[in-house]
Amino acid sequence: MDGRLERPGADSARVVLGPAFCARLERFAAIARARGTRDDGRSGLMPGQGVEFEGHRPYRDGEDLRDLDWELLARLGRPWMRVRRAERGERSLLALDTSASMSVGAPSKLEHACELAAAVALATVGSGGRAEVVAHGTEGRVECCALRTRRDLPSLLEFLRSRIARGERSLRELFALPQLARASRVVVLGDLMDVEPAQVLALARRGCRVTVTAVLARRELAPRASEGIEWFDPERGDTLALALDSGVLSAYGRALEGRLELWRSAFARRGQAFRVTPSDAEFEALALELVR
Amino acid sequence: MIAFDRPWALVSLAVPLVVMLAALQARRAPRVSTGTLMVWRQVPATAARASARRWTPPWSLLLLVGALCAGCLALAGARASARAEPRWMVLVDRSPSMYASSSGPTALERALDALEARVSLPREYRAVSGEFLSAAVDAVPEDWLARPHGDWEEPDWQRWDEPGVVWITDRARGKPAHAGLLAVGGEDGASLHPTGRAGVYIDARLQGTLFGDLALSWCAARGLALAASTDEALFSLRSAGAEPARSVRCEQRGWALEGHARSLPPLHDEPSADWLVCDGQSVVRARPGVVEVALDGAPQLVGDDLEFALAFSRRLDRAWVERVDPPCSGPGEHLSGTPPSPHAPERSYAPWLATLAAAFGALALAVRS
Repeated sequence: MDGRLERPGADSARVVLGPAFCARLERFAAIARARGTRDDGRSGLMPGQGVEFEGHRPYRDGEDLRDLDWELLARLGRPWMRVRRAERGERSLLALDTSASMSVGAPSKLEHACELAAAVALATVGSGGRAEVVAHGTEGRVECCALRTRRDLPSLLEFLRSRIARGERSLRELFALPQLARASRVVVLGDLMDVEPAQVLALARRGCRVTVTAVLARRELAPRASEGIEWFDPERGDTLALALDSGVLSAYGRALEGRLELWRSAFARRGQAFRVTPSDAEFEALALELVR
Repeated sequence: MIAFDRPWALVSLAVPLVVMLAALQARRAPRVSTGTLMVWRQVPATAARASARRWTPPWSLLLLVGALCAGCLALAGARASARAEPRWMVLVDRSPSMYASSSGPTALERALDALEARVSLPREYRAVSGEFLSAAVDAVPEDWLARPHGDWEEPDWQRWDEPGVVWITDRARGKPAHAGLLAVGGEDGASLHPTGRAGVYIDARLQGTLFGDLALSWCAARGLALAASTDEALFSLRSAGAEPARSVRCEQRGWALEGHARSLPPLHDEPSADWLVCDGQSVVRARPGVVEVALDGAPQLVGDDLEFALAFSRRLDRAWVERVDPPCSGPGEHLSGTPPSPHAPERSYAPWLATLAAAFGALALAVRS
């Protein structure tokens, strides 16, 4: 959760993705291409849960045992997981949460999710794959924008800029899209407060990797002590007045960590990736992790 | 009820209001959006309840606001006012002369009638004897129309010389500077009566006689001034009658008068009434404003001299009243004074409020330090 401090400013429901971001995105694309070029000269292949075997790594608690190398376990006495590589032509689908709660933070959670979506989509295209971003539109209907080549980037950025954090749009509506059946990777970006791990893990099937990133505002991850604060839920309009002393903060921290741990353990058991990022973090490092 | 000398200064009450609102605004919990409200709701109720205690303003702020409020009210000149409606305060002189009457209403009754006819606003009546305020009522009680028992001193008029006050008296010394005056006779009658004349003229030939001495006492009791001539007087006691005088004896109930009487000339145009008739001859005759005495020298009074004095006083009263009433509703009647102003028992709170403001301010500073 290290990263930039939350910048002062009001929450914003709109997405900016300004010129500075575009410049950083270009630099990120170059870095992603360089990372994707292997020392053996093969290029364009990004690590992932594809079909091409790449190597082993130690087993982590809760991971899906289907990729456990039983022979290695028998020989070495320690569990190792098979790591496969994504193939050229991978189809990634990025589900973007645009509910009103994504307006929280400075920059907003939606802004950071859009930054990640653009970066992951661009890296996927750079590796020879294809990316689609699905999200609710301003009218509440589910809209889709595909990125097949780098030339489609302006339209993707325009698509992302037209997202507005509004209402109680549930991620679950996006999970029912037919595009998901064709995707080899599903990346979910949102605060995940209205979905449960099982609902997302239902997307995981053989050959489809699900990566979930919980984007939370700095004030949600590490609220500061305060004599009094009135929390406001922008989706439902509910409020809760509290004095944030050390006892309340630690209780909240435990509750939040408990919820995130549910996600981590559930995803680890299924061999899927779950990450948490503050909305004011740099997008580059996380985006590289998401496409690895 | 609270009234204010400077109601415009109440605008300054906005200052403590603004101070309080600013403090409340500064202390108000800011509203912050969050997407993790459901997680906040999982915070154990005991911890949340303990931390969600409502903010209570600090004592220093409360004292400061109290000091400002008290100061503003003091600035506005807060005072207690029993009544908001303007009303006259009528100061009633209940001295014996106010109950002088021949056969009609007393001077007090006439004065009250005149006041009723001239003043429509509500009134509060006060009876004052010397320094002592005996009563304050909204309407004149019946027993005020009868002569009070015991001694009755002349009020200290100057003490009651205030706007909104009306004096009812027959003996006010000088015209009031601020109060209104409904005078019935009195030593200042010349300055009070519209005619510019006042007082009683007593013929020099009667001075030192029984009738002259009684007339002087009557004037003193009625608060009437003596005039030097008949032209200046509203009322005259004259020695009259043509010579020769003859010896007469007048028998009345309880007393008798013996002496030498002249014959009074007949009156053709003016109504008159014989008061004392001796042997078929009128020796004391009265007409409006004039009492004529035809008895020479020092007549001999036999019998109940007090009864004689009272009878003569009543005759003088009647002659006085007949002289000036009509057209006036009372002898020497005069009403003057400033327009009515709200007059009610008032008590200024400003000094107390200023003291309170200072005390609160000092306490606020002490608490804050």
